Amino acid sequence: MVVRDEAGFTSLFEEHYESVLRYAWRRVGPADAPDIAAETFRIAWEKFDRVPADRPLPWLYITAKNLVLNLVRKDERRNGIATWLGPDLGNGVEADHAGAVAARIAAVAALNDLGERDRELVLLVSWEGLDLREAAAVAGCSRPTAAMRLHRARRRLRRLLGDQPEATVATRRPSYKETAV
Amino acid sequence: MNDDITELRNLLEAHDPARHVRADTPGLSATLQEIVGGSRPVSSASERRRRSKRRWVMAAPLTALVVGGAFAVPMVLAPGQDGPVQVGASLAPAVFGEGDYIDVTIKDPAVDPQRYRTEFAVHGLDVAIRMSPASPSLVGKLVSVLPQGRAKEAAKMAGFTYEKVEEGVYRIVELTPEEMKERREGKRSNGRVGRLNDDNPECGNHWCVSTIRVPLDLKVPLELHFGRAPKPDERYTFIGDVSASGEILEGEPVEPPNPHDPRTYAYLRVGELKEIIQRRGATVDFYDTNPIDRPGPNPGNGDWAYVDHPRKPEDVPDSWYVHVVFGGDTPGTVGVAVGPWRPNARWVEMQEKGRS
Repeated sequence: MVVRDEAGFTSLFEEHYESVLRYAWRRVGPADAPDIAAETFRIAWEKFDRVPADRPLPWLYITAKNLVLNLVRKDERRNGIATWLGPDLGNGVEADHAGAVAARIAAVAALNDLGERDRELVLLVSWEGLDLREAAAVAGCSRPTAAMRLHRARRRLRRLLGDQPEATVATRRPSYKETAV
Repeated sequence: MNDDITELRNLLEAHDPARHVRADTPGLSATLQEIVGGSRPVSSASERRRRSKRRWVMAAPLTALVVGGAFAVPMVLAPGQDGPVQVGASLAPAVFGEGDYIDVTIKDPAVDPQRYRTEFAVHGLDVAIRMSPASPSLVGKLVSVLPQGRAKEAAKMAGFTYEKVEEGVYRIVELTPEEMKERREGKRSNGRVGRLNDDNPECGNHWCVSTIRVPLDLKVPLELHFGRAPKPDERYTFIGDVSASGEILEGEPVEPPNPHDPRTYAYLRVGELKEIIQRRGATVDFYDTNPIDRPGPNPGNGDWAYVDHPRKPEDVPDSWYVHVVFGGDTPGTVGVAVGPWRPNARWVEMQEKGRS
């Protein structure tokens, strides 16, 4: 039987829960984010000996990412970044004025117009605050690939946000799924 | 490169929908105690193997918040009735060694969950029952116990854990404030906390409970989450072991190899699995490549990111190895994680290196 370090896990939880909650919030919205975060840490508790002690956040994000993908797979209405965002774009969390709302709609639309992998990398280095190495690890690609994608995404976002401020949220790109055998 | 990251941060910083999100501190304590108290000790190879397949159903509770709606109410319970009640559900007040309790066994998963809540309320308990569509082996089974409310209300509770009584039967155990304090401070890691020993064999390698025993003096508001049969066109919320009783591949040898005993390796090939699947009238909903077990210096990133590596059926040779077979989220479907390398190749490789 493995005796797990409950005190160590408690520290991990207290230090990083909010980051994971925000990660999930940005991707699935307020209704499901607490569950994603809680489930992430439940898995971390079960596998605590495999969570890197020095840099646990990428590991936690990878786990949260997979939970998000499972949720997306189960509920085809949700995919991409923040398609749960309604007209208020904040669900009562904050009181945005009309201009800010419009700007965020444009930003979300531009993000959704990126490819799924590019978008994830952009979010990891921007809102999640990871450096290139960590973001590449979470995204499952090499650093040069991540750098290339980010460079491409920056150019595309700059163009989209400059040319199409009133763009609407892009149509969901379904992931591959097919009946066979 | 730094210019790219800096500009992206500047571009998007103001639009972060979660920049004002803060974790609710009291709610944090409740979530922490739920995690630490609700998980099982890692005790055996079979346990590890079970968890490897449970990964897919771990997502199941995530949809709990959006599940609901109308259920058929074929009969009416009799709140307050003396003696055992066997109408739809078994809510039988009884006296047991450590005091009064109610055994909850779902006899009819189609009964309105609100009826159960009313019955609990008659006994002064704040216990909600939630029913979600589940694959056959989990219909009528308890698959999750959660505190009600995830924020401030949940933080006020004293905490709980559950213990095995006998095969398929567990009981809720309320923890004292002192025990909770010890758990939060890391002074209590075992004892009565989080003991879930053997699974219910009815559910194969998925944890489930047939009967949950709730003490009548319980103060913790609970939510008991059970499986029910899906309605037409409804997808499963809970997906059980694909080879468990009642499931589409019941009794078939698709259990993943035991990573701690290479002698048990079945090395099932994709072509062999296809024969089984065809014989059972099932279909493959999706193929994923298992990136983790890849031998050599560059195993896949992450821990179990199958979903990051979908694969078209025509790109999956029959000679490839079957790593894991999952139940699909609709009846009669399965998902398969495959790879050109043998399952647990990394583990074997590491073991062999250790021996040399």
